[in-house]
Amino acid sequence: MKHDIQTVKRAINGDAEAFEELLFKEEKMLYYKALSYVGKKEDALDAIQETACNAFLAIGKLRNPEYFSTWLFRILIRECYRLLKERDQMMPYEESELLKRLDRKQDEETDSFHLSEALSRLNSTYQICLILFYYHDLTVKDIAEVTDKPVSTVKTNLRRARKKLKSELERSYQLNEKVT
Amino acid sequence: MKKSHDSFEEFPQDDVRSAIRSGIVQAKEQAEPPRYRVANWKRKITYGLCSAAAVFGLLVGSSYFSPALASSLSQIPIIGSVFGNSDLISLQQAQKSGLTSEIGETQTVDGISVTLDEILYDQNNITIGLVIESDKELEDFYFGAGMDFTINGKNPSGSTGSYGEENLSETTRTAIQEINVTEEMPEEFELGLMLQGQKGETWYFSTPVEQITDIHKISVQHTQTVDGLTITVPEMSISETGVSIAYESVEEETDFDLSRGGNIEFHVVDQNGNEITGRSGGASGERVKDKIEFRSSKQFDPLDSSVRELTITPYLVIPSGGGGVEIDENGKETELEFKGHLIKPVEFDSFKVRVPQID
Repeated sequence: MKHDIQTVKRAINGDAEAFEELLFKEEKMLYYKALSYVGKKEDALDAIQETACNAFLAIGKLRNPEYFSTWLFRILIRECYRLLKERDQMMPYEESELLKRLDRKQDEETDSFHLSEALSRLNSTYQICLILFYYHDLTVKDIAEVTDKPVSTVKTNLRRARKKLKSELERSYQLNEKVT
Repeated sequence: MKKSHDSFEEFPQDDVRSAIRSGIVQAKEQAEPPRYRVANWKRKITYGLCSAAAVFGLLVGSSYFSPALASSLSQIPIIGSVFGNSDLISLQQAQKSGLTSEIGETQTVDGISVTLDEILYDQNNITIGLVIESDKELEDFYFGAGMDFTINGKNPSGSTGSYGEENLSETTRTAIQEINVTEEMPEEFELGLMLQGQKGETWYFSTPVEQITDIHKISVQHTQTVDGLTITVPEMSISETGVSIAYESVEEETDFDLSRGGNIEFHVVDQNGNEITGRSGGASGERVKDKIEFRSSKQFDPLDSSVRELTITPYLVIPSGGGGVEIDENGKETELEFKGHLIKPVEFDSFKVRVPQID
């Protein structure tokens, strides 16, 4: 564990200075993680502010000080998700990276153009599931926690999202073939 | 985690640290909400209380000697409309034009009857008229700073307003509660009201309210920045009950006591130089990173039909004294230091707004 356990315990007991010290140590990770989820600097800063607020209010309930970082980043991801949902924005992703991940699960290779077109045809719940799972490497359990949905629902959504993406990709290829 | 598309940019350490600090401050404020903060409520002076009591005494005294006068007096309701009798032109006007909703619901707790007399929901305020009658004489400020309220059963995130009483006799008083209209108030909603007495007696009311419909909005879109303080007046609203000037201010400051945005008032004159009388209205502010933003709507008396143009001059009212006391949930009092003398004065430019003809 990278944090001094005594500092975490002081933060758990409501010591604001100790809490601030812990967050300052994670500042780069907090920022770049938030940026990878929300895409814009200002939104990342908003998510960090909300994370600091909610984490400080909830830290008294943290039972295992050694899991402080894991716990903090879960709150951050939840805040990023909440912020995007509130502003009705889609989670940004790098097409090439997502493509690499998805292609490992697909029989045939896809190209970036068809992927973004097919992905945009899915509803936002399916899109988020795929991005969180393939692009951000979140487990089904983590996705369930971030999106506040039961694990079984997330599993179902992921399965349906993959199926729908596959059929949308096929449709996109067929359409493009007809055009060319 | 995938590499971010912006990861080659320089890490904005100051911004991140500021966001962290702001989050912690926000959490502290949420964790320990001040139960009662005097400075947040702009109380109104209790109007003409002695004169009303004296007139009432004189009338009752005369009727003792004159049975004829007593008989005529019995025909006159002692309390008419709370709004109609108030000294506020906007309320008198609203009452006369039938814009208010008469409620007339009475609740009695421990010998004190509170009647929700009438309500006006215009562009500025929700104004509530109350009649309070008691078996025994009640002290001044028996009902503290006035009513708490809910919007469709939920507590509002913040509110400003005022509460004032007029004593008609030792056991009868009328009260006017004003709640400043905020963005979170729909045009129609269920207004929950709670009044608490000194001994913990509580009166609850719940009533649907609806905003008056004849409100004309005029787009102003005026912005000016003076000495780091930016004020924007996006629009004005005009109705039969008055005028409201909405404004937003942004200032690079983190100390609420030193920020100036909440102390802005407007001097308004028409094309003939006649001043339109303003009424105080609260402002609510929030700290957003290193800035303090205020939003408010200032209220003015209704305009007569001859008004074609208004010249509006924003100005800063620097408090000459003050401070306050914050009482936490354990009853511990903390004196809030008065910093008014440290507030920097600022002078704004005037701007003109054309008033369209309204039938």
